[in-house]
Amino acid sequence: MLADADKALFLWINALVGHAPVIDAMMSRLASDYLVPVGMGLTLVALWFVGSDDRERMRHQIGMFTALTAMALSSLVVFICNALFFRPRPFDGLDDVSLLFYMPTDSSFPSNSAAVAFAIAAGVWCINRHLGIVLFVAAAVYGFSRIYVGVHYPADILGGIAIALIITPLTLRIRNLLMPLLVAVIKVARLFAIA
Amino acid sequence: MISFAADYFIMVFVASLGVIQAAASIGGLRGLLVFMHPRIARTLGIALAIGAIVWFFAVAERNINDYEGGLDSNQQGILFFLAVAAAGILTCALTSPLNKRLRRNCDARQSGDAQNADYARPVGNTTHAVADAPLPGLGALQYGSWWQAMTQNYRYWYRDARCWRTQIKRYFSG
Repeated sequence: MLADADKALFLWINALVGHAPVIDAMMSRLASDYLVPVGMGLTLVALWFVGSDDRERMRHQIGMFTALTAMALSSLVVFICNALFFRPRPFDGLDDVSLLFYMPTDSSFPSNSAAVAFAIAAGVWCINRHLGIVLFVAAAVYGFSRIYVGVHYPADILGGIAIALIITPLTLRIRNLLMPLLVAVIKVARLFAIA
Repeated sequence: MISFAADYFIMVFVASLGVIQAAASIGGLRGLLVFMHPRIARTLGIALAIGAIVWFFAVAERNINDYEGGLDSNQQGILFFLAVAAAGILTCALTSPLNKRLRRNCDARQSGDAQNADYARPVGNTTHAVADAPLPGLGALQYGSWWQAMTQNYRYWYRDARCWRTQIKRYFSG
């Protein structure tokens, strides 16, 4: 029943392809492996330098480590899930799918792209609410575009979001445990005036 | 694959140069700015970042699977890190000679405010209490170039080189 609803929702969203070539081209770019992830990576780079004083900069830098750790752990969980469970991609399982993307061969569920993007957004949200919301919106658009171009079902994206939102609080606990180590790493970087 | 990886590296490298300029202008790190005016630095930085991404998607088709010439996530991660590191190194190398006079100007401006001059003055000229303050890291770039911050750090460590154990203990516990 839920699987049917998932497929119906996918087909409804994917049926939008072909109505407006400009939107198709935009969605194809947005779904790329290189646009939103690079944008989020560059946001983390910017976060490293921004801060009114040393204490705020250190908070941002620790937040950057947290976001990266959340991203890596989410990716690891997705990798394990993919090894245990394989769901064919929509273009393999359904007829009449309009594909605007290459054909990935790995499992459709859960979406690694969504898990990674939402993990970074959640990590940043923990230290900067405004920037975090902007990244959440970017991650949501990224997730939607992956459905639009035909490489993920909506449930795959929701699975990725769930993994990211479960992993991020765990990452915060790990961060608290490793705080002295993180502070020491940042202090070493300060010796070279890079943190 | 090599050309795709090279394009990706160039895109991240140029975009990082721009992001560092924009972030340094927001964070007040004048020692990292190529143009001293923050608004110019910010505009130039954002334009560089957007321009690099637009260029990357304009010159070729980028939705390519990793086994057909694209990049897998590990390659992406490594190239991203290397490109950002290269952009950081180039920024420091470029802005150090450009912003050589920045500290001198700050010293002159802050001469009446000794309490706030600990980042600006070379350690050798400061009182012992100020010299013992933790190193400011990027904060030093508000008042001087990266090279000047490095020489200040070097002086901090060289001054008490004989008791380096105490020095390290004091630095990491502070």
